[in-house]
Amino acid sequence: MSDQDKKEEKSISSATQLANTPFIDIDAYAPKMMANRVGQVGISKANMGFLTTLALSILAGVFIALGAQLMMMVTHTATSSFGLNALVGGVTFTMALVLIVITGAELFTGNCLIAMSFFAGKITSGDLSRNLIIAFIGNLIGALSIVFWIYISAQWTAHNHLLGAKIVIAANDKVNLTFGVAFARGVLCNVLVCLGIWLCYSARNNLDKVLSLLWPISCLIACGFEHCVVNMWLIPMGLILKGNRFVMEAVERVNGGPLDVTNLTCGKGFIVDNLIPVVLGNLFGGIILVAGVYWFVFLRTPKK
Amino acid sequence: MAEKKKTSKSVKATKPVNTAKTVKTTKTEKPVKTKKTVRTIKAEKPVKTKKIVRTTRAVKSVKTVKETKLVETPKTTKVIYDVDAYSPPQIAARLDAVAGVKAKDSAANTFLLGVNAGAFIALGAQFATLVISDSGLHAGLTAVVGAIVFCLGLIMVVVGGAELFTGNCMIFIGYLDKRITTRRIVDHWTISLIGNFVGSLLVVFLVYKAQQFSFYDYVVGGKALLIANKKVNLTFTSAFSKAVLCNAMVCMAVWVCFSARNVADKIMTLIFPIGGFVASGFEHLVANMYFIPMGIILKSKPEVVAAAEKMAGKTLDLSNLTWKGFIVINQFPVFLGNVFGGVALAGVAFWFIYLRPRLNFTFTIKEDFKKDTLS
Repeated sequence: MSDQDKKEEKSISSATQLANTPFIDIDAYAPKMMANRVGQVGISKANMGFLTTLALSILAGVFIALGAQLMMMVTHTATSSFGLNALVGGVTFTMALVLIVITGAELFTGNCLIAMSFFAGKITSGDLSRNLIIAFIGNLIGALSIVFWIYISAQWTAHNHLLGAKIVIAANDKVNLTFGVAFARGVLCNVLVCLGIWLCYSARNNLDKVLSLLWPISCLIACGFEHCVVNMWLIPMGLILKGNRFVMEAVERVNGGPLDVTNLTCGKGFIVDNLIPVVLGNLFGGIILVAGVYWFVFLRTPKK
Repeated sequence: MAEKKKTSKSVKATKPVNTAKTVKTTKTEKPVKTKKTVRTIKAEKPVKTKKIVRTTRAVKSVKTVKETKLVETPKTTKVIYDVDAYSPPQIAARLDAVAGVKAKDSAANTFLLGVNAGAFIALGAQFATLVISDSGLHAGLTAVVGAIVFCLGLIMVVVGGAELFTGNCMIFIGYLDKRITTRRIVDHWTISLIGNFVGSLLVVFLVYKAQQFSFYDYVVGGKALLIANKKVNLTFTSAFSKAVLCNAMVCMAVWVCFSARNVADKIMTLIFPIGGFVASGFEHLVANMYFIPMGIILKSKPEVVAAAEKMAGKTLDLSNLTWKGFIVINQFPVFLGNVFGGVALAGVAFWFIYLRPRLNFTFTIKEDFKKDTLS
């Protein structure tokens, strides 16, 4: 006991009293507080009304689709190297997540963090799955609406149909993944999305939020990981453009030969080969690897 | 000009009456041993306002300008600048306090946060591998771009909360300050190191399963293989010294981060030291836990080896790229170097400068400085 006292005295004298207070007086939230914040936000999100959630998730789908088309636009004819081109695409795509985080839209992948409130016992599994399902449907509607507008706008004819060709090739790559590969890419993707959003909970101002999103989000796009909401825009876009003769000619020019697009279909290609493994991977990465781990570390009630 | 100077001088004389000869009250409980500090200073309630009173002090000084405009007693100025960032002595004190908190965390938490840190660094490492895989820029610029994207890992560690072994070398400050026992610090380091290794291997597994190595005609895999092969062919001295430099810079990054109050500050301060060490090609223990196992796995893929040989322009000798080479040639010297760099060059040095017992560094220096420049 006296030993303890001595230690305490010593530490006070050597570090001055500053040592005992200062790390409370900091602008950014510490991880423990971030976890509390996420837990509270999760409760309010899970209790939001059906129509509000749906509208916000449609917005999120729209934002992601806009980010994805921007990424396609800036990368489709780059002469710089593969890695740098991917990096530029990733950085521009961050726009989507910036819009979502700052305007508070409901993104299916990011909402996996709500699972922290579920693990903490604040909401039921029904609340969690209700929110995720509404978000999923809303995201799908939003992404498909942008598919419609982009198609009507004929933006894909840009650069002598090369943009359309790039979209078809990217979509075709995505529907030809094996289950394991798509699952692993989905896991890595949503780990990064959820970590980006997790970092945002440390921030108090928008600059903080943008900077903390920039690295994780550009990483997941540059590295080609599978984000289910991005795919909801990209693959339907590819499905539509597949029918266009000029686009397919551009694909042949880029590819150096005819491209096998037989698997680029709505049922088997889009839903079975891509969406199902990617959604499972996204759920596993977000709910278990991020929300679960941070719940265990910061919010679990310690056993006596 | 002259008038302004006069007013500014009169400011200091807030309460000139009773300050004929006051012993300067130092902040420590231990009353001063420095004879020098006996000096005529206005000792206006110095003690209670020292900590956080940035704004209060500013306000106060403004007021006193009006009140005591005509009092003329040449004394030293007391200007407190209202800076958001923490000053180095405060950084040291904060780091010391945080070290105490970190080391007392439970083993399960430390381990899981260690897994997180390993995974974060590995994600940053794979991102950097991909971006630099076939850059058309020249070597230096490629290194810089790769280094900036590598910051992903450290940003997530610092902002998101994780226990990175190399950064944790800084908690040696808490040990020197007797906040942590030897047993605790050894336990903490061991657990976080094991956690880092587990986290890195988890990401190696996932990235391998995601077949990232096959991108762009296996160029990404080839690059990963080349990086790994370079790392297991270092001599002991070279690996050790690169590791010392690396962790000195990582710990400097942690150090400057503790000056920051918000996330943007943290990120911007991180980029330069972390980008610097990656671009300079120094050896980071935890990053190597991703790079080299990835290389060992990719060695078995003939397409990847072919791509790597095409990139290198010669046949590769991959005989050292084994688990034995990983541990003996790379991890062992890098571990020693990282610990030396973090503990001696960053931890002990800063402890000695700012937290050495019985040295009231801040205030002594301040008063001396003012005296010399203004009198």
